[in-house]
Amino acid sequence: MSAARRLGWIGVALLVPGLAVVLAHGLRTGEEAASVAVARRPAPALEGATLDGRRVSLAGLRGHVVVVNVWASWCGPCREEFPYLVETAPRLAARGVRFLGLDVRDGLEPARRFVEEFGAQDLPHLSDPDGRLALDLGAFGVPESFLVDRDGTIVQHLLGPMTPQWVERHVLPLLDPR
Amino acid sequence: MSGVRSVLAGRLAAVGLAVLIALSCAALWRSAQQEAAAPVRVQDVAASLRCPDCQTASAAESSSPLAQAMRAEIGRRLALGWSADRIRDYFQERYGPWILRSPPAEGLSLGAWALPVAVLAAGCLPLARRLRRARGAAATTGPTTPAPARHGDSTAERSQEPENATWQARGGARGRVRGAGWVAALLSLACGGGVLAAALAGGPSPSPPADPARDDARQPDAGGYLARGRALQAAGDAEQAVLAFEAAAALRPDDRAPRYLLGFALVKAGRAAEAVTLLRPLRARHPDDPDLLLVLGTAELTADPPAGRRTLARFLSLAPEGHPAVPEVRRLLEGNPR
Repeated sequence: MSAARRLGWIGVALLVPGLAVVLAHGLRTGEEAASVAVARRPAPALEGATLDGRRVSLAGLRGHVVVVNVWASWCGPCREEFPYLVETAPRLAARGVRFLGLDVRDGLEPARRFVEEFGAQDLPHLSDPDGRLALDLGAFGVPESFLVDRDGTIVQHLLGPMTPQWVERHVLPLLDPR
Repeated sequence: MSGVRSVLAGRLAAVGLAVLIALSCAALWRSAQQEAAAPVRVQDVAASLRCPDCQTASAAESSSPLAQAMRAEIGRRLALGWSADRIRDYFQERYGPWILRSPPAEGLSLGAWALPVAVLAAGCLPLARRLRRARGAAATTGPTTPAPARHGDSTAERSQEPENATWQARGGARGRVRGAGWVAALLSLACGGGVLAAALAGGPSPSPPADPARDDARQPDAGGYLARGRALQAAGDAEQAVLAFEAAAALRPDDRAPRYLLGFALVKAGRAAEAVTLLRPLRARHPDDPDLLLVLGTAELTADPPAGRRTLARFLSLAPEGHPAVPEVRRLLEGNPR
């Protein structure tokens, strides 16, 4: 076998397992696409006006475990997610969890109608018409949720609608045992 | 004859490859220089960042909601005097290195940078081998008697070779030496080009989060930052006003006025404690400056109310007649007796 041919075979032998590893990683990533453990970083202050005109800031919720839910009235999966959010928020509020909605690149009126439709008026929803707060948070789209611990550090980033499994797996362990 | 042609073709190919590599390096260098010299535009910065909600396009190309938001944010920060690198760092802190379209040449991505160089270097080997073979063939089919032109240039070589060595063998040896030289030259060029490419186009380098003073002469001066800060504060954007006044304060370290404005902006942004931390060291040096006492007292009223009332009382005792803040501070203190 010539040296060139030998070199070729060595190349193939290195390339095939490499491709297999990349493929396997890609498939595994696909399975877990919904939940992303982020590199811990301080949450931004996220200050602004809510849909009902109050001033709210994420920094003001320091000391609580906070779930920041990024949504928009034009987003279909947000519509599917909201009933669960509305049902879960008061239950977890009793254990010290605070929910903060972030309505991204949305009209004020459609957003208010959306909130009323799902009976989510009791939760604060920051209005972010230009998407600036979403970028500051590091959001990729809607719906998404960020879990912020009591020290104001982002510890989890959920891509896609919130699920009971996600809450159980990531939110509940941050709370004091009952 | 065909051997000579093949040697010539091989040499031409090698020279062509070397010229190509050199040109690529020059193009990269030029492109990097142009980037450094041209004014930074929103599109330039956006083109170096990925769009978060589409992922396959740059933030400059996409019309997705977050790409539009990114362009607006880039524009806002450029207007505040941020450098392109600092804006990229801002997004990288939130999205990780993924957001950069040219990840820095470090960690795993270093492999991606090194791979083309390695492939190029590996590609040179068969070429060099072919060159050597072609030279060997040329030597076998070439003249068996010494050509006059070869006498002069190989005296040293000849003196070291056995007496009975033929010109054919000598030609082969010379070919191998030259072939090895070509391989070494090509490998050095390829590796050098790769290193240069990685150094020049390796993406934005991390920079400290807030050091506007290091920005070059294209950035606005302190007066520009002060004007921007005032405009932003008037528009109710206290956070951005803080950034502008921070920049002005960094550019004028000996001027107290930008610090006072920064203090006010911090109070307005709900960061009174930071304003107190900023201003208290100044009070030690300028205990009788009424403007400093006014800003510090205002900040302390939120962060440390008793201290705030004391500071404002001192302001009243030192403020010149007709100071516009005196009536308001007096009312405030009378409404909040010690």
